[in-house]
Amino acid sequence: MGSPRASQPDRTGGEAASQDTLVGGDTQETERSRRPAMAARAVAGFLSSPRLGLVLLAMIFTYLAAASLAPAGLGLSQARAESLYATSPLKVCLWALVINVACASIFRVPFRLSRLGAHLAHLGVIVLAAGAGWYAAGSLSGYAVAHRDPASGLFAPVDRLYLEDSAALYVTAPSPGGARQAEWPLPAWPEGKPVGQLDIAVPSPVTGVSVAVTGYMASAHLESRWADDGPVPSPGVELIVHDGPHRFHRTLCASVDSARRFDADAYALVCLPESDADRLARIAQAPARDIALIVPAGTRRGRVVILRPDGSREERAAGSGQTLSLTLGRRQVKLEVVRFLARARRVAAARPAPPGQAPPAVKLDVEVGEWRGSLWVSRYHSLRPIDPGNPDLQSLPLPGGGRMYFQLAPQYRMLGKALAIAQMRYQTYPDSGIPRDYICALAVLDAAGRPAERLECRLNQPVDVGRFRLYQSEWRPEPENPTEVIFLVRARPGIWAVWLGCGLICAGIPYGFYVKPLLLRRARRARP
Amino acid sequence: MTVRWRPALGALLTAWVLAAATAAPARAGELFDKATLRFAGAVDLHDWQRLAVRHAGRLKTFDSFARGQLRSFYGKSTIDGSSPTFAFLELYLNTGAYLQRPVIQVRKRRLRDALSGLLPPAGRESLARSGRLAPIHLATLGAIELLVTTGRAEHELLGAWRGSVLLDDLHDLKGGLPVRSALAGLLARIDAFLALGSVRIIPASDGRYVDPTALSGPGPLGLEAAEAEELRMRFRRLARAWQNRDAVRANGLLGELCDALVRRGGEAYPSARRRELEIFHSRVFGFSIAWVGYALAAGLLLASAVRRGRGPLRAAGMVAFGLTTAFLAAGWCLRWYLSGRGWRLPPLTNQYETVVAAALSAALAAAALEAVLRKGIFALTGSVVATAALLVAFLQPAALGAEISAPAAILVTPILGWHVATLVIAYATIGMSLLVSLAYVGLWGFRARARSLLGDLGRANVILTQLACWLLAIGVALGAYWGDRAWGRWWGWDPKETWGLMTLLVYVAIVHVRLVAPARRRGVWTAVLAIVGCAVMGFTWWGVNYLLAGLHSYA
Repeated sequence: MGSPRASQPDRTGGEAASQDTLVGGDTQETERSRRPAMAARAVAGFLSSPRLGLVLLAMIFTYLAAASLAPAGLGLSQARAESLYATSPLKVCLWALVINVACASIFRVPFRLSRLGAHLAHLGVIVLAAGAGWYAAGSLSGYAVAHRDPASGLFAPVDRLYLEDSAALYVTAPSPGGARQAEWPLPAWPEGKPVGQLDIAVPSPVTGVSVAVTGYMASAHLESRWADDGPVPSPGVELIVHDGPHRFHRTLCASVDSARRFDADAYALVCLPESDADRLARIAQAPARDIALIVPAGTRRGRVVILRPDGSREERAAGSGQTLSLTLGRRQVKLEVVRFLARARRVAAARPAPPGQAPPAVKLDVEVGEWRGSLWVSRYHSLRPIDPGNPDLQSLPLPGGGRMYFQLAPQYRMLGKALAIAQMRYQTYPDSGIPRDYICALAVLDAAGRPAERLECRLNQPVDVGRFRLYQSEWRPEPENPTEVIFLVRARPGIWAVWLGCGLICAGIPYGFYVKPLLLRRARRARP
Repeated sequence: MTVRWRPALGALLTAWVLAAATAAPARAGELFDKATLRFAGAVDLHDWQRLAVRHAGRLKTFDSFARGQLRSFYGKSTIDGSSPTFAFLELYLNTGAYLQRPVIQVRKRRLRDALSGLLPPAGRESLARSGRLAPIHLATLGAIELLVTTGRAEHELLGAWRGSVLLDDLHDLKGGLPVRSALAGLLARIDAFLALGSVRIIPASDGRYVDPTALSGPGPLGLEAAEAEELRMRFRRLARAWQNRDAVRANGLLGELCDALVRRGGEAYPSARRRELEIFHSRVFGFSIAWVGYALAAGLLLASAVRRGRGPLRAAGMVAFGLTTAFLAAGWCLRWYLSGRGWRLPPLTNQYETVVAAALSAALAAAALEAVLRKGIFALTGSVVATAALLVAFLQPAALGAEISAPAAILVTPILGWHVATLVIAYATIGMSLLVSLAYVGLWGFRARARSLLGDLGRANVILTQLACWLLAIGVALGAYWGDRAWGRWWGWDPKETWGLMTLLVYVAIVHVRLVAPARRRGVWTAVLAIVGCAVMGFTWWGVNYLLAGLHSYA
């Protein structure tokens, strides 16, 4: 948008042009040759018009008012209301305004020192818009997550960022040279459709195993269940334990560490094949109490062997649906055997959750040799370290030994440098739980893993690592004793242009308002 | 005859004043009875209100603490004319007497209506009469059910008990614990809160402060067992003397405890000067009382403008304006000093502080413009804007957050000062511009007769809108810079950001509309758009906070 003085020459120029046309209209050829120029001038005049700028401003204002006030009336959710601001119509209007400003600068404000303010401010708008476009096109945004190792209490180095709004299926499988991991990017789910079918074949890192992604839930709660359809033999037993007034429902499985055993006050129930002498020996060393060893023999039968601390043993046959009365730790305990499992497998069943209240999940169909089954995998914000000793639901045992692990996480990019958390401090105001700062002392590691540079990342004080900037984001599960430290990571191309644009605008406006009148006054005084 | 009446009238007036002065404290109040108010007059809390209390992350005087606490549940910083310190101590040391008295304010009529139907007749009557609930009624079944099921009710009553252990209970209830089974525990906790609420008044080791209830625990930090027992006994004796209305004994114990606590604090204890200044700060309502001075200045300047003179009225108005501005500036600096946040973090961290800063900005901007242009318009509009802003702060201290408190972690940055100060000055000039514009539009119908005045108003409006435009541009740019450092993005389409940009664009439009409008109508166009701009600014500042959720809820 230009000044009236600036627009004046254009107007007169326009009139002059039309007079030229009239005068020179004697020849059709001249008129025809001038027509494109006239049209271009008319377009330029329109695009640079201050009135167009004002109309665009009015449109932006109307849109924003509608976007702010209508959602309440229409009953839209707050999230939807906020997203209305970032929609295309508003952006189109803002870009049109930038074009208007650029055209006004070119066609309506010829350069003079007194107009430097308008030029600077207009140039600032153009540079700012260019910087914003560059930033939007090239920025990279994600999270870097440092996991604390429960054994050592130290945080693992951070070397990658997980991209926002992306998803990939990671399949980790044993191989002769160690575990191999394959990443398979997944598409974004269709918006507004909470549950759907997919048909994506995932190349498996192990021969003889095929994996396909066949469905998704945009927001899912996963629930643990036991099935008797595992790919490998895995004996287990489903029990109801009646202990005085108490009643427990338990499934014990010989091959799953976390589900092998049930501890009560005076006794323990353990599911193991009796041939597993090592484990049995370990259990026998446990504090003096009765151990009921449940030995599954098939899908319908098995045995219960009671091991006393004095070394004596008692043996009872058990069958599915049978109830055994046992004396364990001076208590009468009834074991109701619901069923024996030959191929026990803990599976995750997915249940749809309200949008945004649970992470998304995908359904995988897996074929391992003759075996065919499915499992649900839920999304986590990063790849978790695999603990072979305690496999979770999102893994499958392989017939040849070892397990295949599935993780649904965002896609990642390498940071280029590894960062180690040297120290962290959660500051609160005295005698209160009010947080004051989250401070991480970071060490940038060299190729040999030695600290090469030290940085301190705080709220309001991000750190630059290569082309990325890291910000404090979240300490989970509680800030006093986190097991995960999450940094927001951004690559910000063109941000300098944004600041330059802001600087030019902030410098141009006072020049136009306060310096220009002085210059004009001085010029007027200097005139004879 | 006339000569006889004069001494008689004088004697009568003197007797009435004396009677009023002596009888006033003994008259039963809304909450306190006659004996309590008489006791309030007899008990000496001069030293006690100057004690340091750790609350919400900072050390404040007992007086400030009591004002804030009373405001948060009673709705006023005083009860029945007694001092805040007395009123708080009365509720704290004599809790049992108030379990069935209306002490918890319910501000919204709709909520009161909703609660009324759930309360027993006595509670209903007391709620209708005083707008407050007794703690015992809070625990009745209906009220609690309403707390859990209605977000509105929860907000109201949670606000009333801010900072108490009760909060935890209510969060638990919200999380789905069976409401009825939690009622008994809730009753007990309300009782515990009132009797033993967290008053961290005893200096312990490592700069910590502990509550008197901690004295009977396993041993507070840094206190010898004997010393802890001694303090505990003194507090118990004080409570007993207080409940027995034994002013002589209570005064003795209050004095002993004050000495003991200040002595325990040692050198780290806040200085007497600092505590005295805080008391002064609280007594002048955080300096929001300056609205009276600005209202006076505005009245004088308006009268002078109507008379179109530079006579004594205007001089008096300017003097009132200058003195009030100096008073407010001193108060603002004092609040900065008392906040203890250091020079990099000015008091601009919540709505109360920004409203007061807007008043000061309007006054300072007006003073600066008057110094250069000497129109009288700026001082007048600055006074009116400052009066309006300070009145809001004066009348709504609890809603705006008048207490000096620890700022949210994200606000602890020097950029806060620059970003907020720039925008607050911009908003102040926008407010001044609104007044000028309203006058301009009002006089536009009489433009033939008021040409000179319209010219002055038009020029003043150009100055104010241009200043607002520039400051808004700087403020928005600084906000983008801060967003880039704190949240990792310079622009996020947050409602506050988007409406901030909108406000800027309206003022850009004002600047440019002068280029296209006919010369005769430029002034009125500017005025009309400035009125629109002020409405947009108002929505950006207040409307967004209350109508739209975003990241700027403290702004």
